[in-house]
Amino acid sequence: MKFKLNEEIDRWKKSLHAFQGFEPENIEELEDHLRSDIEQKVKQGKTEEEAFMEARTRIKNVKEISELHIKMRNNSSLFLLNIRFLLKILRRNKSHSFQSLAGLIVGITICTITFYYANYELSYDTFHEKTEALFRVRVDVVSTETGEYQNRRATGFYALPEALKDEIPEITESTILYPEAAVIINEEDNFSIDKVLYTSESFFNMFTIPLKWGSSNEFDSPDGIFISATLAERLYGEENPLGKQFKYLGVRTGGDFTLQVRGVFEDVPKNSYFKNTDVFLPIQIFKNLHTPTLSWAPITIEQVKWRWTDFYTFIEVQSGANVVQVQEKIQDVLDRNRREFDANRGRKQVASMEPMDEINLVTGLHNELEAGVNKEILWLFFGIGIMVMIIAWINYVNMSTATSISRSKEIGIKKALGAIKKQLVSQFLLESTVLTMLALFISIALVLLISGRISEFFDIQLAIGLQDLPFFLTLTIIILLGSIIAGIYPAMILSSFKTVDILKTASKNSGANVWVRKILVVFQFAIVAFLLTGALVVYQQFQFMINKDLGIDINGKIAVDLPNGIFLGDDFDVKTERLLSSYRELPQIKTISGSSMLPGDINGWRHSLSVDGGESQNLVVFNRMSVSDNYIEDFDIKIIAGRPFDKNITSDYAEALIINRSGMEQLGFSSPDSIIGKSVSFAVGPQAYKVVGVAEDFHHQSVHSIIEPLSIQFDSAYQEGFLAIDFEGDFGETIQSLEEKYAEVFPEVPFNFNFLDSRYREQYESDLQFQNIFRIITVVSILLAIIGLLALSTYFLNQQKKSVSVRKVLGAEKWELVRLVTREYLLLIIIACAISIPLSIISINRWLEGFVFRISVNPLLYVLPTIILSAIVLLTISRNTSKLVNVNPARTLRND
Amino acid sequence: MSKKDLVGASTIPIVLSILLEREHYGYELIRKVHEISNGNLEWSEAMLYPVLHRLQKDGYLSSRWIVLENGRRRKYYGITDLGRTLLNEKKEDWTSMVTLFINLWNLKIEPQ
Repeated sequence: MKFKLNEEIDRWKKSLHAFQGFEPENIEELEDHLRSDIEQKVKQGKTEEEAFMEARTRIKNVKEISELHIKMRNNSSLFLLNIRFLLKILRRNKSHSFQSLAGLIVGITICTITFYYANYELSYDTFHEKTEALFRVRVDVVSTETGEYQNRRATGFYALPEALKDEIPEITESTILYPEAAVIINEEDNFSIDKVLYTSESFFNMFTIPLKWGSSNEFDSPDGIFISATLAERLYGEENPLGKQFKYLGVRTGGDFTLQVRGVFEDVPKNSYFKNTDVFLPIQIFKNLHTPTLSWAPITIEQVKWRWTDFYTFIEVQSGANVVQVQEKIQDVLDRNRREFDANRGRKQVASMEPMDEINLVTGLHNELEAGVNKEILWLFFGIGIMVMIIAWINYVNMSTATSISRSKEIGIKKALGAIKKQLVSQFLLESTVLTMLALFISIALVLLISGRISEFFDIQLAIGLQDLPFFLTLTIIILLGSIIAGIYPAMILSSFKTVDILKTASKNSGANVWVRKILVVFQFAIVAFLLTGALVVYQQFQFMINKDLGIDINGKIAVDLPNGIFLGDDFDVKTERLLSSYRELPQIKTISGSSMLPGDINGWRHSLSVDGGESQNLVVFNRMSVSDNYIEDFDIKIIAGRPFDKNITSDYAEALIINRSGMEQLGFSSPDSIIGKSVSFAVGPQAYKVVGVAEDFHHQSVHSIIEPLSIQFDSAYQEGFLAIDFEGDFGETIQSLEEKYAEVFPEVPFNFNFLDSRYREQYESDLQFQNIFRIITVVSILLAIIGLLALSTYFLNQQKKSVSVRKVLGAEKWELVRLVTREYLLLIIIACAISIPLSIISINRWLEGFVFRISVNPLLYVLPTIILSAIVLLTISRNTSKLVNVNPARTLRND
Repeated sequence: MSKKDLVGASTIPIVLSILLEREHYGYELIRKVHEISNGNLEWSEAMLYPVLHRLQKDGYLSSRWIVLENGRRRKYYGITDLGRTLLNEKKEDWTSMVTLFINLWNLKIEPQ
């Protein structure tokens, strides 16, 4: 049979199609190759058949060609190849890989936690389906004369929510909130719950708080109660709680009811203004409770609905409505209803609308249900997270380039083997990316592992779930981008090594590279110095706040809560007096006095006060408190004019008033003596008081706030407050005796006590938390910097060996060499601190401005980080320095 | 370094050097290397084509198809500016290597 060349070639081509790697163009090229070879061989005298067989055998490894094509096209296989290679490298440079990885893990972990926390605080109440349409309306008091705030509060008037919905068409829904605490009495036990909210049915239509049992339609009933899933479990375990009854004693309202469970709501998420709510009660119950009289004035709730300001208002606004116009309309409603009360009093009620998801970022209000966080502090957290991450990245850059000497040989060989610069760059980039990803995974695992402690520390709910996916994706992208940037520099440096240089000497880097590294180190030190100064100032400020003389003696006293009188019937006064006298009989008791509020508590009892008789026009908002006769003496409050209360003077009881210096000044009196004996009245009631004394200003609230006007009266109102007891002898025994006596007088009320000073310090909890976070981050960033520094000094050690050896041969003393080696580091630190000091001064002053009472920073404090950092650096590099100084010149120079 | 490694390492500079003169097609390159090396260096198709394609993909080579008189199409490769830069780098590397060996072996040989 005659050999048909074209047919054979066609058959051969068909066989190539079986391989995945080939595209038609590749096959055409190979065909040309085959034919050229055949033609050549035919010219040499071979038959077509022989030539074809030989040429086909030459291109024998068609399979291999196709596989290489696949590899080239398919980056993932290239990626896998590189990964395998990468693992090899990681294993080879164990200590370097470990240091890099450790640095990145620490950086990313801190960054994740700070970002998560800040993001969490920003996520408050974003989970409601209608979040964007929901607003809180609150009412401030502004002086018409000066325009200054007289009172900034989170609350508004009782009548506000209903009026807004009725009168403003854009407002489609509104609800009211009134908080209190309560005691729940069940068959088996009785216990206190901290957060009860009276509200209306519309609450459940506006906010996304799903019900586990029951329906929101059943909320508005005269004896119904909605309880949280946690409370339901505590009371009834797994049983269906609907229809169960228990006794409810309201601490603030004095309400005493038997209520039936009509609904159970899922626990409110922690990132909500309504977090920790145990119970929702219909506002109707509250209303019924307050007719026909209120305790402080003989009028009905209808009469005071535009004067009683303890109620939170929430509204739902139609989508597309103009918020500015709605706010104007709200102001209009307010003006119309408040005109008669505010006219001629030099003040105005000003409404403001706050988007639901921004309430958590409002601070400094009275009557706040949950304290918000300062927005600037959150930005600071983001900033600190980024700073720590930058320190970790700089570390990575420094360590990667510092190990370049050992790697230069690897690179030299690779280049000789035909690797192109681009390939090397992508290899090093891949290396940094994979290392970062590995660090990211380990960090997230670490965060999850310690999530319980983090949640506790920040008082947040760290349960990472689907809702956090965007957060973690963003974080991953940020960190990946950063790692690419951090990887580019070492990749460029490493891949630009020239085979010639590598072979000539054991690599000396160009001056520019050393400069880049020095700039990075300066940057790193500057951040550390900044954080260190910050940590020192934060510590000093909080120490100052905690140790500041309050002007009132709260140390060592026990505070015992007194029950609300309405629980206990008409003989409550008698019972309280009986408790007091039985306590006084106890031998351990040194002093005992009662008051309606304790230092550190937020006071809800505030009214405007003015001097009768037109001597002063000023109407000043006073914090009010009621005390027993010996309170002033027991708390060591200094009276600067007049006298303390005297129980032997009958007219002191319920008629005398002691005010503080700030109150006196705001009323327009310049000397304390001039106000003594004056008659004053609160705007709410007909009763007049006589000023019998002026007390020196003391801190009743935390040092965060200015000292506000305070009036102290001597009457029975304290009996629903607290007892402050100073004792001697054994604490345990004292508490036991106090509890026993308490149970004799009030058997149905749980005994509650705590230390006055620690109770007062609870106000500083968030400050302490902030201080701790700052301290931890500072220590971590110092540690990170040390890791990087070690790598860098190892690098310099190798660089400077030769010059040190030469100097040694030339007869240099050891101390000169030490100076030579350390001088450079110290110079870097000084430059770094010079950069950080002005930044520190600006930001610290800005931070301190947020405190009413603040330290004046000693200028030396700004220099202190320079000294601390120098000491740390010298200590860190000491081992490498001594190695360098003790180097054997003969050996170093011979090797060179 | 094995012989295979050496061949691998030298492929790119050799290809680039040949193309510096004029455009070549694959078969031609293999023949040329065979000639210049006096038959010592025998490139295989399995090695050459992937290298050509990779260099082209990375921008070091350009290529075009030419229609022959008999109607067959043939793919010619040429060097780009980027390829010239790469070649210069490689030249420096190899020159230094070669110089090193010459010096090294001269030094050792001369005293004898």
